Amino acid sequence: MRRVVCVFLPLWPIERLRRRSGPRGPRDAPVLLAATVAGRRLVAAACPLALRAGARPGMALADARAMLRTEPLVADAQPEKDATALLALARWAVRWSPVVSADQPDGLLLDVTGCAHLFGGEKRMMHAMRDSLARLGLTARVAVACTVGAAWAVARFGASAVAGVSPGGERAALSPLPVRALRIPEEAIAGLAEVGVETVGQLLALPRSALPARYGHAILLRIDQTLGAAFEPVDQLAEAVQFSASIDLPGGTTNTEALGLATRDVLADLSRQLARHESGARRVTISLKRIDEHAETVTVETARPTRDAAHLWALLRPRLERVHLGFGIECITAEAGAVSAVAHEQAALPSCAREPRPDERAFWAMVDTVANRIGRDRVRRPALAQSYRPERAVAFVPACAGPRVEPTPALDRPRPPRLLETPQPIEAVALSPDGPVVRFRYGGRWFDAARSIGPERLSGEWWRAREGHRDYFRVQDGYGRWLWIFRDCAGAWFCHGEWV
Amino acid sequence: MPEAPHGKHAPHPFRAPMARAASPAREDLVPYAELEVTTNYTFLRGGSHPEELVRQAAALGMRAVAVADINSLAGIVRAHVAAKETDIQLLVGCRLVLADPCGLEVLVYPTDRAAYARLCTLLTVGKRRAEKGKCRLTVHDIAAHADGLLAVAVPRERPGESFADHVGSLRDIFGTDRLWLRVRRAFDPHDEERLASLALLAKAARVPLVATNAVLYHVPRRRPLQDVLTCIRLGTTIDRAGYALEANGERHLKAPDEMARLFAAYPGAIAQSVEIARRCAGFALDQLRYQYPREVAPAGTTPMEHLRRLTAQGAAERYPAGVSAKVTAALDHELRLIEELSYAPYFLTVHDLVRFARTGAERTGDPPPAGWPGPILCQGRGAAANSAVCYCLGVTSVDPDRADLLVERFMSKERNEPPDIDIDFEHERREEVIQYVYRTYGRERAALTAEVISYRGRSAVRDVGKAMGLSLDSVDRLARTLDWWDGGTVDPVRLRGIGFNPEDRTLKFVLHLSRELLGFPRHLSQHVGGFVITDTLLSELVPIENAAMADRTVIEWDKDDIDAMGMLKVDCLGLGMLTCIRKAMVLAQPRCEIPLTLATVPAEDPLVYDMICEADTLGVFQIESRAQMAMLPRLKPRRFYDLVIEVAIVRPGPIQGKMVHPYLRRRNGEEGIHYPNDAVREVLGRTLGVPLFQEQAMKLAIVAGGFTPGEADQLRRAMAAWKRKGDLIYRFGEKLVAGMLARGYDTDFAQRCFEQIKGFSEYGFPESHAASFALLVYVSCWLKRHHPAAFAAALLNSQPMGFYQPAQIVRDAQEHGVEVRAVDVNASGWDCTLEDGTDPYPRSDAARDHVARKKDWGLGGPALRLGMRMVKGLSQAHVDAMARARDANGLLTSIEWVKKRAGVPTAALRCLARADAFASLGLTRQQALWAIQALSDEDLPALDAVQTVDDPCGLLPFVAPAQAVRHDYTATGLSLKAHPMSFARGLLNRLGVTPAGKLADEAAFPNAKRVSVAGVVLVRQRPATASGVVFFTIEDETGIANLIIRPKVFERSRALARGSSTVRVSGTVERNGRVVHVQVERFHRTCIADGSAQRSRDFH
Repeated sequence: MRRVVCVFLPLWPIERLRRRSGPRGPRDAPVLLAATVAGRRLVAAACPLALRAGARPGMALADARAMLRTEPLVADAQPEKDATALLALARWAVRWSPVVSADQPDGLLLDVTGCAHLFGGEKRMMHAMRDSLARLGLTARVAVACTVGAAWAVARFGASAVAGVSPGGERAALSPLPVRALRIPEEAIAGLAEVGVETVGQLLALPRSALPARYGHAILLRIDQTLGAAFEPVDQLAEAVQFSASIDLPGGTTNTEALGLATRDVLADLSRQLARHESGARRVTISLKRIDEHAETVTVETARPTRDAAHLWALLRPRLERVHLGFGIECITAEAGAVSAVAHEQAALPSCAREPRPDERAFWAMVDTVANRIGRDRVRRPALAQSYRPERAVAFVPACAGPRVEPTPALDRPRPPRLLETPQPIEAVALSPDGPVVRFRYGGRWFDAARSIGPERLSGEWWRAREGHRDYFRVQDGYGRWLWIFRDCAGAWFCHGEWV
Repeated sequence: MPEAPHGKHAPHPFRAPMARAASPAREDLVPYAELEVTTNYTFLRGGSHPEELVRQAAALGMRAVAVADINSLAGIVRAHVAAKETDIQLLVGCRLVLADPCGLEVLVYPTDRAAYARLCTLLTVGKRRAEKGKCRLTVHDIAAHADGLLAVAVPRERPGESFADHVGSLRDIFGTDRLWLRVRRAFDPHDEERLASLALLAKAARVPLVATNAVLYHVPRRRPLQDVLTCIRLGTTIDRAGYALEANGERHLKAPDEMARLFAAYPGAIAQSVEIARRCAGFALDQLRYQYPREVAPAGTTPMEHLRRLTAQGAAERYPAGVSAKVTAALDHELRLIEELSYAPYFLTVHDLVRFARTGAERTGDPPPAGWPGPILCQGRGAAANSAVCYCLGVTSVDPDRADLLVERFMSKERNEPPDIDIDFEHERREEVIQYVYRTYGRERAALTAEVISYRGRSAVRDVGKAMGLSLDSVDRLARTLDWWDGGTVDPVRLRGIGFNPEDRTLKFVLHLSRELLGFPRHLSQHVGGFVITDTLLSELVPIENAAMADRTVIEWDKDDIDAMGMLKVDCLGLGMLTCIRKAMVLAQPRCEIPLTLATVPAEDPLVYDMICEADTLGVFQIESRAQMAMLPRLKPRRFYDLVIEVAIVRPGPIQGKMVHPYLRRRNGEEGIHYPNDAVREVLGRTLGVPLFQEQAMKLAIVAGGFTPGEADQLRRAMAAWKRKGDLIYRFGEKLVAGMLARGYDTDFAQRCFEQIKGFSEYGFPESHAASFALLVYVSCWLKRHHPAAFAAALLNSQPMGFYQPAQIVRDAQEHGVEVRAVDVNASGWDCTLEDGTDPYPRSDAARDHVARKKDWGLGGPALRLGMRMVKGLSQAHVDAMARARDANGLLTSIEWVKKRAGVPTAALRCLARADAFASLGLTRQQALWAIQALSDEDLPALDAVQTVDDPCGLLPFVAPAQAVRHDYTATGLSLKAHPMSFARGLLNRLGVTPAGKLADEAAFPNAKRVSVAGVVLVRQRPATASGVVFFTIEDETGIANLIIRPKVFERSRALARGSSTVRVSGTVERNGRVVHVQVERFHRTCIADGSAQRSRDFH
């Protein structure tokens, strides 16, 4: 006889977050998850503390706050991450049964037919499930029944946190539960409520033939599935599409030439798989299984998603050379990670050989090559930043991140190609407070200013620090050299750059 | 809860005049005029108010200053008023930013009245062809309106080749003698280069250069705010705004000497600024002369003759038995005054609107248009409205014979200002009047005034916080704390409490800049109903733009601007109570011998005053609020003027001025009345020596304080603004007290008078308005007393309005003996109606008399049949279709029949079933819904027939009465079956909760006795004057209880007190005469399922 366990995690999004980030803030602070809906901040989930104080999912965050006595911890709801994490939890739950599925958004379904005795009977198994979930910091309600529907209903709406429905007892167990427990559409629930039907028992008392016209045909299916008249499977956990390719080298080899060829074949295979899905990978892991079962792995990362086997090979080759081959490699596997969509690229026809932006490609290939040797974070590139303060007008950003960032427009103002990291104090003489410079002393020598253009007055960024304005001058000395000097608001002179 | 109401943060300079400050001696300074000033009326760009800029320009010793906002003259009146205070010449200016050629900017200044008219027309043209708030102009438009305008071409930061072409085309328009090229020191690296190239260009084009500083704010320290405004405008944060901000903070007003130094190489450019100012000196806004529309009088008669004739006609109609000597004298006197001040066209204009409302005719004598739904009820109020002339013209219905109102009190020769008449129309039909005005006078001559929407506490913090990069949650938290923030300084303890570090630099900036931003205009909206109507083209006085609402046009100036310019405004306002009164009169008329109008309702009916004295006034006009009801048994109004006082006394002004208690004591004879002399008796006699009205305060200042009428008027304005400009009223106060002492009044009296005048602050209520309101109070009370069913039906048909929910209105009607019948598909129309005879469809489940009857004057009268408008989610079209089907085919017999014959969709049927409206078909709510659920809007007749055969109604669960009442509330907002609290009574008794009806028993519940009550929250109110105290009115099946909740108690039980629709509280009884309150100490969890009742109405 079939037995199905349903695990319900009433506080899944909140507890998942707690698990991830650990206890943050005072222990007794209520927790709210917020979502922005049409420009308004709404409560997406609330912890029991907040629920007790009257906060409810769907209300405005500000209202919920007003109800709470203490300032709550507020975090953003992340439904996609919740869903992925639930899949991982389902995989973890395979320890109880081989047939497990994630019941999005906040539950697990396990087909435990023939499994329970391994854990000392259903009751013990359910308690064990609850305990191990509690050790993971998750509150759970567990129910077992002959159908998915009955287990689902009792787990969510039953009286106790752990419950079993004996075979044939579904109708009796479900009768006092609200009709919502049947997993029927909201409109049907509302329609039933209108005629006073609140519980499953009241619904089952109605003639079957009267229901579909009023509440849709799905309602009958749901009733049948719950009571066991219709079969409902527990979906096997589907694995996400995986990109991997491998090649067997029977008997193993230590011949680097052969290994190289084999690796390139594997990469080509991987590349074809990626191309079929119009995807590219930003991480490729090669594992080389030795005859002694030990596997050596090499991982390369690229700045942009790629499926260019040649490029990947170029990155891998120097790393593979350092792999310890032992008595020989008998299997090579390539796996793609961090996969994202990459549009199909038209291979150039030989006649109109116009490589698509070759210089850019070469550039990123170079970035990858260097980054894979010295570390991704260490490769940076200068980028313009929008600041009038010269020393902040340039910033170094990771080269690999964000090729999609909007380029900052250049300022239409002359700036010296060489900017001193810290302005050098100098002496200078001007005719009036904001007038041109006539003489200045730089590097220990006095110069007469042949030309002096300015002032360009630049204010400090008042929101950052207490900064005064500066008056910048472009000054040419007697040798034709242009310097960029400024006077700060206190009247002191500095040299800040040079045209070379 | 929303913020407490308060006045403007930046009062119009006309309302809050400044003392004249000494300017530096002009002769010593270089002559210079700043001609390019952008104020904050270029929204989210300018960083200073117009008056700040003008005052600063004057303080710096400039010869003149020109305000030039982008495609707008919205801030010009404020600047003009400020300039008059300081003697600096103000140039009217405007920065035209063209759509074609794109982005070309030209500053223009009119040199005379005609050129100003052309500028206004030009802007009107550009605005009317663009969406609200935008303006689309091309160089050709300028060409068409260029006469008399001086123009300054504004180059971009790096003027390109095309700029020379643009200068060329502008020179074709303006010639070489009316065009200048603007130069400016931006302190950027191109300054010299640009100056030189523009000088060359100017030379080549033979136009002179003129220097400006492109001012955005009046002093350098405003620069951070201007940066933040830029961020708000672009929807970015200060960190990310980058080059959208100004590179430096130089765009403030600079002293003439400094400007001369900066343009030492181009002295001509400085001199030209003064030259432009000189050539514009021929025009100032003072020259705008407002002209009343003239066509109000027929050709061949002067307006005055016409007014006299209309008044005589009206008097004959109003007084069929002959006009009394008193009224004749008043009419003569008023007409003389009107003639002297030439206000006749104004009175005729107002009369014309009223005439249209009465007759629906486009012109006098025309028949009303086809389909005219009948007269629109209206009532004038305001300074001149309560004159005998207005009574005869039909503008007001307050009989001068009955009310002792002298027109001099409202309209005087000394105060040369247009008389103030607001007209209230039925709110549902005001639009007809508005469209009549547009039709009659045309959109060129009539438009609504603007309303400047300004930054207030919360919006300021929100926008500044976002611009400064605070997270949305932080901004929320900060804005939420504004209940207490708005008043003054920020309490660091409270800031810490909500997780902010008060020492944080960013936070300090946010708080500081938010405070600076208060009162900054954000956009223009339309005034609720203030019309400006002119004789000549209005678009030559002020630019007109489209409003957000379709078919509305709005001028750029708001009501303060209009006042300052001495322009006439007629306020056409919507008043819900007029709708209600008209509907009640229509319902009551068949059962009444006299024709019912505002003027013919029998006056001074003692039965009506009996009812008022008992505070039995739920639903009537004005005196239905809790504070008013508490006052009625103490004030015991017995005549019309008592109502005038009642309306005015329960206002924040008199309450804050502590005038209420002295008045009550004197009225009850507990305190003697002493007048220092007859002059004061003259002023204060009507109100027993206590100044209650604004007019009295002014008059007192004249009579006792020796003020001139002009000064008294300034006092009135200072009263309106003293919170913002506190020092001003104290200066007036000193003058008043000194004046009174000099005239032999004792110090105590003088000081008290001043305190009382100060109390008026923003809320003083003019007697003229109170008189008009009092009439509506009386009429609505009369209807409630003599036609309770009709009055209740009219109230229900005019919802939403007033303080009370339909449930309370129905209950009140029942308490007065009116039989209320349920909504039924066979008996109800869209509106509530009156029925004679017995109920053809009596309900078996309705507890007929579950409401205790208090009065029986509704017994024997018609019954009130609830209309289908009470049913939530139903549209009138479907109800009308159903009524038509009923008329054509007789009674409705089945749901399918309703659906087929009337073509009503199932969704509408469902609403009706939810409201339990199929009882006449023998169906309960449950049965009807079950049947409707099987129906489908797709036409499948065969299936339908099959579905209705099986009738499992016996199998449907039993619906408990409490549940049925809850469904009633959900569907119609009320239940005739029982009160929701009655089902919990057993439980409440066990908890020791007292039924609200028993609190009236003084022996059982003496003062200070501890008591516990529970009920549905009807009203939550937090008056601005009550320092945070919240008032609740709750109701159970036995009656109403009034709760007082101190802020501390409210804070402690925020969740319970704020959100839930039912409450259970314990506290102590507070008795004051017949009025009983419960001073709440604790909120308890309710034992009743929330949502069983309606939502309360919350007022703040």
